[in-house]
Amino acid sequence: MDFEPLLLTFKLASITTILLFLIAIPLCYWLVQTNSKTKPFVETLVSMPLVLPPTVLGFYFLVFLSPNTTFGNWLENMLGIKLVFSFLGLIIASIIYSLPFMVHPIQSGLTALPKSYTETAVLMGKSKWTILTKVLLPNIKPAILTGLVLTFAHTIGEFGVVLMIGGNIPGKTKVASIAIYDEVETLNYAAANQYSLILLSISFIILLSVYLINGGYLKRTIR
Amino acid sequence: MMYCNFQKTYNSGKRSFSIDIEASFQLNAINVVYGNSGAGKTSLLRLLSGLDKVDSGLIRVNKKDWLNTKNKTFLPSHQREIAYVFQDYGLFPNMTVTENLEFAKKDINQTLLNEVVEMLELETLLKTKPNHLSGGQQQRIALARAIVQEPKFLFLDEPLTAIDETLRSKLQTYLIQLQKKQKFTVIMVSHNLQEVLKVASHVCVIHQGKATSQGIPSLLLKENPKNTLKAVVISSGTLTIDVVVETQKMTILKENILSKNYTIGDEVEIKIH
Repeated sequence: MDFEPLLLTFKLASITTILLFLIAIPLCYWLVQTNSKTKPFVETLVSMPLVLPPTVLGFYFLVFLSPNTTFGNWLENMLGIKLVFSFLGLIIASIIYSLPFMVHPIQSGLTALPKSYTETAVLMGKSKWTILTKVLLPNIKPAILTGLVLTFAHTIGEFGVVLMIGGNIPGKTKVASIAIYDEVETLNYAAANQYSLILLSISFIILLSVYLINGGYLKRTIR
Repeated sequence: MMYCNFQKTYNSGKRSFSIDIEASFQLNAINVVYGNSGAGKTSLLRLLSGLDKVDSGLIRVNKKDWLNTKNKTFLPSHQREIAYVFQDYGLFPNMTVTENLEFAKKDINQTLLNEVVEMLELETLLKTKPNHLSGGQQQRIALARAIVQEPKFLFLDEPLTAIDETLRSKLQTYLIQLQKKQKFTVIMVSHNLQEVLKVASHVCVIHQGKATSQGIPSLLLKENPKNTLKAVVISSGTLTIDVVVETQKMTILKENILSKNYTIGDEVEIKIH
């Protein structure tokens, strides 16, 4: 069995999770604090990947980022960045595709916190950064963990977007889900089964650990 | 003096609630906002502190505008030097009691901190996280955290309700002493008449979003806003009776002093011995 697709999958999932976390925190903070009329539009855009077929998202990535378009051409010629059929393109597509899986839990966590936490800290003269890092985020650890894990697990399972934007380039864009599809196409069910079993086990273990941690089961055992 | 005259309408779904208040509060004194549940006491505190924004109006403190919608003046909440004890305490669950206290102020006054910890009986709780404590304990920590900030204004929203009677009385006395020592201005929400008469030097009675009467506590019962029942306390002194004003009648709890039930429209005189 070729382990490269698996390694590539975990590399993609790790980078996507980290970058998306850094994007989601300020975005969620803004969504929770704001009364702006643009909020429902931003929330809609964030949630779109939940209902949109991945191929639609992948198709538009392909169209807009292709070197045939002005933007894609500018990226490639001026900055030397090629997003279509590249690992970087996969990361950007994965970030957008997994956006709701990170944003929703964290936004819900922040919304559920009593307003008095923020208000007390504001009256103490604390900066927004201090309020976020010392007061809000430490009190929504389960929500953050859920966001991180869902994003990671969801990125592992990506198929449609990856196929559309990344294609099937070994070592570059051929992730495990694509490898399974590939093996099935060539009727190599044993290899497909190996990849599938690994993804199945990892997904199960990751999700189980979230439920164990957030449910406090591990703490109870330690005590 | 702190003078306020402002309007605010809160809309929540189909319901709306309006605040239209003109009131003044004494600086360097304990002011109590008194009124029934839902009268607008908490909203008044929130509007005074700038946590909620008024629709129109003015808040002036010692000739300085905290808020003036005419010339669009708005002093941000954190510049008003207010420490606020919320009804839900607002303690940070991720921090221990000590961390909660130390987070409140840089270069905390250790002498004051030790005094507050002792007075509020927090010694055994310092290493505990607030979620593991009772409501009364959390309330004391919230009060301690507000005091150690050494604010100019101390806003207290029903700060002693969850504390047992003996300790509550002790804390009321401590608050009076501390206010005299530190010279801060207290604006405290309460619906406990005994508490009002004990700690307040100025009372503002709120009813349905309006300040219906204000003045020294001995005049508190001059007009009861909810049921238009009128009462006058005619001398000041240590309170030996507890008064509960209900919708339909006024009941004097200590029956050996006065046992008559009063109905709407009665005018009563209560002597405090």
